Amino acid sequence: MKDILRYFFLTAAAFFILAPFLYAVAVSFETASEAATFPPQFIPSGFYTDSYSKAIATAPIFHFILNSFIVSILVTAGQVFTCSLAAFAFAFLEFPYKKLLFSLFLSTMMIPWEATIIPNYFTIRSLEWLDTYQGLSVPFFASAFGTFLLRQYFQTLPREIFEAARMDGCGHFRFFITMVLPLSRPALATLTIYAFLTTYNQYLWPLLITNTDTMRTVQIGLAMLQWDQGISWNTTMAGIVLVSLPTILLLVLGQKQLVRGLTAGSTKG
Amino acid sequence: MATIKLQQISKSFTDHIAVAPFDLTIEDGEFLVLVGPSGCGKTTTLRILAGLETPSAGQLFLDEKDITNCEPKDRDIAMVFQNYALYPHMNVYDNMSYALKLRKLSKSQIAAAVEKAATMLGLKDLLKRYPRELSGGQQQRVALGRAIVRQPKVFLMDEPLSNLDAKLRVQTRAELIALHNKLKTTIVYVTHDQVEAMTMGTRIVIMKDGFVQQIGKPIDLYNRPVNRFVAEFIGAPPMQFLSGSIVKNEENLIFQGDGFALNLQGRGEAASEIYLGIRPENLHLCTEKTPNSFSAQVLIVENIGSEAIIHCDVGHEKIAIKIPVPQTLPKISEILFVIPGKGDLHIFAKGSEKSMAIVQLSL
Repeated sequence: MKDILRYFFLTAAAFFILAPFLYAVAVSFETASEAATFPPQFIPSGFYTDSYSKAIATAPIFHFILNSFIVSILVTAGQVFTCSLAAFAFAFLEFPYKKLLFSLFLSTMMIPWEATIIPNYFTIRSLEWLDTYQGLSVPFFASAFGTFLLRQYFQTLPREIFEAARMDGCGHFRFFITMVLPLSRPALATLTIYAFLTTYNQYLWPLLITNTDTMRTVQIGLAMLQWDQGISWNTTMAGIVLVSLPTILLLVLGQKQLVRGLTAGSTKG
Repeated sequence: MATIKLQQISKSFTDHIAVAPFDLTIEDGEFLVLVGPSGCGKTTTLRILAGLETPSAGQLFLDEKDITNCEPKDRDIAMVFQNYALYPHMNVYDNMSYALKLRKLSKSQIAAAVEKAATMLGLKDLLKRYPRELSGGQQQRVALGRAIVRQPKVFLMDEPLSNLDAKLRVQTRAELIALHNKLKTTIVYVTHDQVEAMTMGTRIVIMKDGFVQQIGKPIDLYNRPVNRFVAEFIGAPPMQFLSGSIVKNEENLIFQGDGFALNLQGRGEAASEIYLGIRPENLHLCTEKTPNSFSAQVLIVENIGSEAIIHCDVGHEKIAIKIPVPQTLPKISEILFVIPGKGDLHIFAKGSEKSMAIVQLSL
């Protein structure tokens, strides 16, 4: 009985959260007139796929997805690289003002990204990186959150392993590569998925620094679908579904790691 | 050959002294035990030897070579950690061969060394297992094996038995002694367990609050403790103490306790404030009052089969008496008489707690 109640609430909650997305999927299979009716029609009358071909024809969606993938992969790789090294230093090395530096590092998390967007824009412009992949990705190569996440995880690794390795003749870099990284796979996976999804969903920054279709990313592309077509909801929704697919796939595949990583440290496994 | 020399080695942190300066020479092949209650500085001393901690002052020599500022890896010293510190993502073979790989030994050399150590420790069937698939005792062996394959000049062991259950601990203790006899490598061993110290050590360094109290062979520490702390720490149950004074009557010494007196023989001076230390095994029960006996009221009787510990009140003080079983055990609240045996009685000064004299009962 308790289980039935529990599953009822979980199902309700899941439905509540998924409803907008399910609606988007439904609308993407409706005809333009069905999509525009009021009150809205939730179940499509047929399996109308023209909206997909139309969406693909209107905007180079696959090219946008490719762009987004390139940028997301670059940012993810950059973040994992810089964050893991910084986190290693904060977790394992002794140096003066370590605590102060780390607090300073963390305090940058409190500065909203929007506050730095103008100076960042000018920097990128002066580097002549507007409309380039490096312009889209390099500003996100360092992340205080990622450093914090990894450092917290690194600190749960037993200190004696570090000392045993030192006595075995293992240097810092080798220790980092052969011990810390393999032992921190859950945290690294969490950061990878988090960084990838965040970048994939970016809107404001790509909007600011890209001006051509060849460099636009998916979220901008979606906006284009809306403006170019007036309000042709079925086409827009088809675009949204297409664009969401990679992220959903990633989330499904990485869900286990993500959850494990976010709760790491609460219990030692 | 490996002789370690510590010269005025000390370690202090901002707010306290972890290890006060002391000298120590650890001879080749010795099994030296650092023992003391937690926070006494024994582990810090071991970590200084390992190079994981830099001493605040003093010098450290390994075979006449100054290694005070030497990196841990360049010391040719291996360490077994309290929680074993096995590499969780490597199997037993990789754990044991890791240090050798870093030294760029050939594959066949590594295989031979691991094989030898694994055979010695009975790990041959476990080489492909991961640490999480091993029992505590097996993990402990792997940690030991990881140290052995390196053939270091010195082994450092930081309470390696403390995570094992009581039975396995006794067994592994014997195995470690056998291992030491076989390898004849210098071992420095840290423990808080005086039984381990007494049974394993060829020499013991006993520490308290960062200060070395006494260095000596186990039996010397037991028989000739320099102060009350050592007397209480070595031996189980610990030495018992009665406070009182020593009166000198011609050539005889008399201990004046709380309502009783004991006639003593031996060298000693009159003193007003002293503790008389008696080993619990050197105390006997009798039913009638005899010379040199004193009355005691039974509080608790702990029967552990081969022997029993009787806790009783003597005036305002409490003492424990160890008696062999079978012997009629006293009942709780019973009042009986206690008489010291022929063994040594220790006189400690109140205040300084230092040993003043060792005397015997005058019969």
